[in-house]
Amino acid sequence: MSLLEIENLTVEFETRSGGLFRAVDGISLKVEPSEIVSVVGESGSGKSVAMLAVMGLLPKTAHVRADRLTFQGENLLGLAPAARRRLVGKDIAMIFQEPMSSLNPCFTVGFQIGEALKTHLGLGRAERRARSIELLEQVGIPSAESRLSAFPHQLSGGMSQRVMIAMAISCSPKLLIADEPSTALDVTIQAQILDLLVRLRDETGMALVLITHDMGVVAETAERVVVQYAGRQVEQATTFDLFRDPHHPYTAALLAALPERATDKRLPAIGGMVPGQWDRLAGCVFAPRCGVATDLCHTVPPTRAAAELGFALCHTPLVDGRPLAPRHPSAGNGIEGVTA
Amino acid sequence: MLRYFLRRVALTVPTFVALMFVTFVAIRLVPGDPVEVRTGERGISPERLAIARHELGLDRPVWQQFGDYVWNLLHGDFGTSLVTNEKVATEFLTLFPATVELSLAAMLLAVLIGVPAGTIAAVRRGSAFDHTVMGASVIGFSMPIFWWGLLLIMLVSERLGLTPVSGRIDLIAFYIEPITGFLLIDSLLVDQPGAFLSALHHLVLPAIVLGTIPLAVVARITRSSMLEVLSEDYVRTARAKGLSPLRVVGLHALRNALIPVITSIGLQVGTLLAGAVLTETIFSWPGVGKWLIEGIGRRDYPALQGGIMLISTMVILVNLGVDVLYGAINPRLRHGR
Repeated sequence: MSLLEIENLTVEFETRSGGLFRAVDGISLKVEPSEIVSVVGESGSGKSVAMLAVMGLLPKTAHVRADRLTFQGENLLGLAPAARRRLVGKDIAMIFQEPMSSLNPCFTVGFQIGEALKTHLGLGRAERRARSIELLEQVGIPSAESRLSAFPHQLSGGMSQRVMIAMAISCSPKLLIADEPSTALDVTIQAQILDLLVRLRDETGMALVLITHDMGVVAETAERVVVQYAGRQVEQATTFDLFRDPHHPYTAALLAALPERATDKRLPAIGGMVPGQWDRLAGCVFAPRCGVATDLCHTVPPTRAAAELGFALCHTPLVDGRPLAPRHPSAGNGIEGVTA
Repeated sequence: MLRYFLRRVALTVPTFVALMFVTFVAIRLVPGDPVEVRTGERGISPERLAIARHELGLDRPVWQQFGDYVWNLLHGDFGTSLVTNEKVATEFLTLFPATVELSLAAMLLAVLIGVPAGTIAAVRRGSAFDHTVMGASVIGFSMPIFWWGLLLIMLVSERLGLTPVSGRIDLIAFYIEPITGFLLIDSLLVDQPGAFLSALHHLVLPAIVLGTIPLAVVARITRSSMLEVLSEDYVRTARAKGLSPLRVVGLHALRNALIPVITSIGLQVGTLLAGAVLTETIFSWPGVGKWLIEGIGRRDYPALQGGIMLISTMVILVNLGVDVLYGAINPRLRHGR
């Protein structure tokens, strides 16, 4: 049994005009114990929203639907709010992108770490203090004891993120969701925080879902990758396979855009913009920016390819950088035969 | 922090200078002087008028009178009432506790109802409760105090007979020797629960009337501040810890949302004392507000000048106090950042 199972998760937000905006569209993901899975995509691709849905942290205007959303076999969507709160913060924890604003400015570090210990484990004052010091040491904060009485504004960004991590792992969660944990930090601190997360995974055996838009982070930390684009999951593969042979044109374009991989003087970029709420096409959402899109891609939504093709959501998945023939039944045998 | 505090104190000096000048001039612009007003319709012979004016020093040039007034003020002398011949400061301090008691009760009411109402309105934004609270607060804020007071007296005291119409306590049944000056406290200190109940009974209606505007303001500010705070990252963090909604809103969000509310409470103190003048008059509440109104009627120059100076001092002190209180609630200020 997987630790976390998501099948066909859809999240829609009520808009002011009364309509629904689909931020996450049919995401599926399985996370095994002590695995590091990375969810990659640009801003607005629904990666954070999907994980907030797992945590149950979305506002009331969000409609969450899924064929299956289970943690350790327990249906999260069927849980009463109180029962779900017993799970969230204890067995599933989450840290966020902006460590400086994620800590409450009015309370000390010690108070904020101790709170989860009190709520979930019922520890007394002295035990909480001892455990908090232990946690701060575990996340590499020097002179931990004196830091307990510090307020968040007295900490640097990297320090704040370490405190956030200490808070998140305080009840020994089985799954830690890290939502761009290093994006707001400068580069040297970024590496430290990622190292810390991987080290904690090794020490505690918790699984880690790492949300990021940085392919470099993915390559260094994750074992498996899910690529999202405009709310849809376009590819899923092991990190090794994904970097070796990306099957979705979007993934390929993302990897080609990495400075480390650039062969030309000019860095390759993906032209155009992510489609917004109103300009989504009938066909593939990536078609307008895709280098190998055909007429078919613009009109007919693609189906998911097989596992060996990274479940690519594409009519013409790439193999070794070259598109396969379209698989849509009405499309005939070759690209030439397609009419709009 | 000390530097900041001293600067704030220094900044109050121009305020005091302006106040001295305005109160002195304004009261003298009102037609009729203390002597004329006291003689009433019977009139007074021009000779007697001149003698009386001379006795009170009112025949001297105005700039001399002003000079005396300022000189005395600088020596801590607020003057002597022309009507009662009592020291203004003494009179003021005997009456002030009644005003403070009323104002505190009004403020307590405003905070105890306004903060929860604003918080719930923010959490249930757009709900019927939210619209009701916001609608009621507009009405409360716009309502003239004297009209609202009379309305409540007619309904609650006259029709329903639930509360007394006027006064601080049932004077026939109880006499409480002032210790702190707060009847609610004094009656308990001398162990007279009956007097306590009577005082409380008398306090309810004036406190509601005086508390209405602050209540409306507190509810609105709490709501808007809360709405802002609820979308902060640290509120999401608190929820991600699996804390109950009550703890997330009531502790993590409210603590931050209260900072602007406390500012507004400080600013309300001036409104409260102004409102107290009307409320005390309506309910015959023996506080400084009623005393000032009577002072105007009698053209009691020293009482008015001194009284207004003293009230202003209180307002300024409270605002200073609020600034200090910030530090207690907002650690970012405490560490001088």
